[in-house]
Amino acid sequence: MVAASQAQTAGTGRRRSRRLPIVLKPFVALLYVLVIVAVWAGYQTAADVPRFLLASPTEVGWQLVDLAGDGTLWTHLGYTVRNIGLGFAIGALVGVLLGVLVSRSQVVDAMIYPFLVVFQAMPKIALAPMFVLWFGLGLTSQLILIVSLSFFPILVGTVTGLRQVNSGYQDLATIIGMKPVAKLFRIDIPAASPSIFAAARVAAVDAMTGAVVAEWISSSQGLGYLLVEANSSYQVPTLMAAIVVIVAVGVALYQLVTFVETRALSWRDPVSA
Amino acid sequence: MRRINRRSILAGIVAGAVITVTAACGDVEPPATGGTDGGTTKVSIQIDGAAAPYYAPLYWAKEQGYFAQQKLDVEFLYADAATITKNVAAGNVQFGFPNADTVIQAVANGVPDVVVHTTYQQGIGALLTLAGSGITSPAQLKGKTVAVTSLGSPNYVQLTAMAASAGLDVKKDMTVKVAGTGAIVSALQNKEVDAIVFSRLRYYTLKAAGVQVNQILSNEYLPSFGNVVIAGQQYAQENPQVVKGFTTALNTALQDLIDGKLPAAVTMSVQKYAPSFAGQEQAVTEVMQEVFVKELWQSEATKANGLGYGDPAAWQKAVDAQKKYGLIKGDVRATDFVRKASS
Amino acid sequence: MTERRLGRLPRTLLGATSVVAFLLIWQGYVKAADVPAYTLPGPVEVVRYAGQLLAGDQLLVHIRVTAAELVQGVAIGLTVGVLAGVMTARWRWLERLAMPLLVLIQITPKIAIAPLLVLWLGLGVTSKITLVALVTFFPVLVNTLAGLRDIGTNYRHLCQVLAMSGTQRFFRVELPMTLPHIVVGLRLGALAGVTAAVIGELIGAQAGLGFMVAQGQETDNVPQSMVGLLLLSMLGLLAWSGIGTAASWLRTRFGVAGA
Repeated sequence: MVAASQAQTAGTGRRRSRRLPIVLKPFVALLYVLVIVAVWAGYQTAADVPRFLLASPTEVGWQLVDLAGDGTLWTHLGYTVRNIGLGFAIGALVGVLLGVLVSRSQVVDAMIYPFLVVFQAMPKIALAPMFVLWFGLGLTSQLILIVSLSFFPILVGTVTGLRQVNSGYQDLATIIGMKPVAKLFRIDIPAASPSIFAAARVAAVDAMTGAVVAEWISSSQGLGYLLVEANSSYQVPTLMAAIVVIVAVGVALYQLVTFVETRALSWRDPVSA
Repeated sequence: MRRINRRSILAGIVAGAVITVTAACGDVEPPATGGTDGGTTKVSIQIDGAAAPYYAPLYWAKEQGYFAQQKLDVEFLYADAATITKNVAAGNVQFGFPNADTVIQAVANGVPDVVVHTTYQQGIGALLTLAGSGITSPAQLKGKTVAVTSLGSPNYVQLTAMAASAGLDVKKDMTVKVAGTGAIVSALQNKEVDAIVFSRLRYYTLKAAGVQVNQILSNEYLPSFGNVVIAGQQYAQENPQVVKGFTTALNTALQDLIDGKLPAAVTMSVQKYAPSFAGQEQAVTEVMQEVFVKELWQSEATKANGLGYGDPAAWQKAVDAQKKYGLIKGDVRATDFVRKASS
Repeated sequence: MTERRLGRLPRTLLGATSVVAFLLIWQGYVKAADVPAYTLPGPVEVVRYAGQLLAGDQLLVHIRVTAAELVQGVAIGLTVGVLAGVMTARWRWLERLAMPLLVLIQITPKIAIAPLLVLWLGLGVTSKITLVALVTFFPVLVNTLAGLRDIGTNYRHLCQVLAMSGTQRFFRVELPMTLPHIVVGLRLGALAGVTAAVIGELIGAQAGLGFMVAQGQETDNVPQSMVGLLLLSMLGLLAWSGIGTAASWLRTRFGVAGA
């Protein structure tokens, strides 16, 4: 667990978050979109890319408008977003729970460590069809995939966060005679929350990947399904429109977690943070 | 777009690193190029699905040196049908061996592929049902749950046609579920659904895996072709001798197999290409003798015109059927993308 | 945090016990509930099948192909990631300019863009290596950047006092001090790289562990898929621990204590 926990923190630590909100600033974001579209259109024209490989930004734009207009987009988007939300919530719960258990009990840590390691290293995309085999075609196997992708970063974040809780707080809790459960909720988890939030940002994006992959493998709804259908029926503009929407959802999720993080952590002492 | 952008920025650095590292690691997989080397042309063919002894004619043509006789060095790759049609058109591979239904959809959507060898003379789609479900005719599909790979896929259209033959409406009279190609067979095994529409070859692999299944062939309801050899329109135009060489070699191999070499070819294919079929050689040979030799590779048309013959009228019927069920829009003429005979 | 630390031996024993218990329950369940092998084969069946595969030479080919894709892709991802990390650390404007784009690429599910990538880069090993490099690159870059930013000002001053050149500073101070961070990014990248290699192989390949898993699915051979999955997992773990070992060797070699 130790190696893994150190691993995730450096990649997702607080440092990064301070720089990223740049994406947010609407004008800069707009500028980026414009540049991307311009380069895309330029490449399309200059390299004379056949239409079955790459649609032009205009085509994709109109396709998006069409999909939004006839409601198709919202159905798929709603389905995927709901699954991401559900899967992420379960994943976060499982992750925090396991994280607390692992950091509280060396025995639990030692016992689940081998499974966590092997499972984490297993490419979920190849595992996804197995989930369908074992858990059926319905929502269950889709949610299991999302949870299996999103719980791990949270688990690691929780463990790391709990390890870093200021020993002064621990002593304080002992002095005022706090009960273990109260200590967990009032001291440990709040103190570990910066690390948990950093992990949540990764987990949210992972949850989205899980949702898309699950829908890719078996679903009749969702953005992942839209991708597959468009791909197998050669609707390149739809395919690319789906990718654009998926990326937008990813960015939105990322920003949402960051937003919640700033709100939730506003109590933090700016000096120690 | 970002991909391209990043790609161009880093292309130089990456290229340098690739060369260094590739040199260090050794060549594991030869690149899929269509280059010429000492009179021999290197070509790749991308086959639908994964290596299986059903593709024995292609393996046999390589192992017996029939491709080499035509100065071809053929390499086999695998992927799903939609990917194959695009790769062929994009020039990533020279030939493809996808399902004809997919090829029709590709062509209708402007993917410039041509069929150069109608290898299977009829469709290989089938409705597969668990023996316990008691479904033996389309009429019995009423009220059942059936899985297809996507609502825009040929197997959905096959189901539509099958249901229509019994006066049923797919949307009202049954529940249609979607399961991707990696999950659809599992769905049936797991009794998640009563039936699936998929390749009839799965009937045999399922039986081999110990699952009791029944099948209803789609071809009776929606005429089509199974796997066919395709090439990029431009490539076929510029390299007629390569295309001809390829189909000639394939026909020689097909004739060998029809003339009794099938058991040997299956054994070789399992050994060299599809080891996961080890132990099933006998069963596969029997299936191929019954299905491939009798129904797929040969037909009235091939007896009159030679193996791999693409009957324009039959192709047009397949195209029109797809149009009728709304799978493709616009007019597609079979003669525009199907070559009648190759040899 | 914890009151008493477990020793290495009891820890290993506990882990082994739970794994054995899991396998027993699995086998027992498969036996008792009479689960057919095409749904869930028991561990005995999986091991038996793995043995059968090992007897042939195909399995080694699959392992070699995927391992080669992984090694080459990770090597490129590492090189480019460190370079980009150094550049973005030097020039803040570059970071501001490129980071949003990089985050976008990172957020995009690779499965969504893999078909396009393969169409552009062809079906050879290049497309797989590129995919692996793409996913390795980002964590390496981010961690390199974080590592370089972490170097205290007193070290910078020291470099100035010692009148070190840019190159000297990079190789004698910055690189060694950033190494632990790079290792962290590289490990994460290598794990993601295994998935990337699988995605590449699913789209078009003739060998590899991802191909093996797909072939198992295509032929309803669940044991084959499971053996492939386990080997992929092992490959990831091997990369993970291999990078750790290499890093500690480097650390001793350069005499830098882990940060």
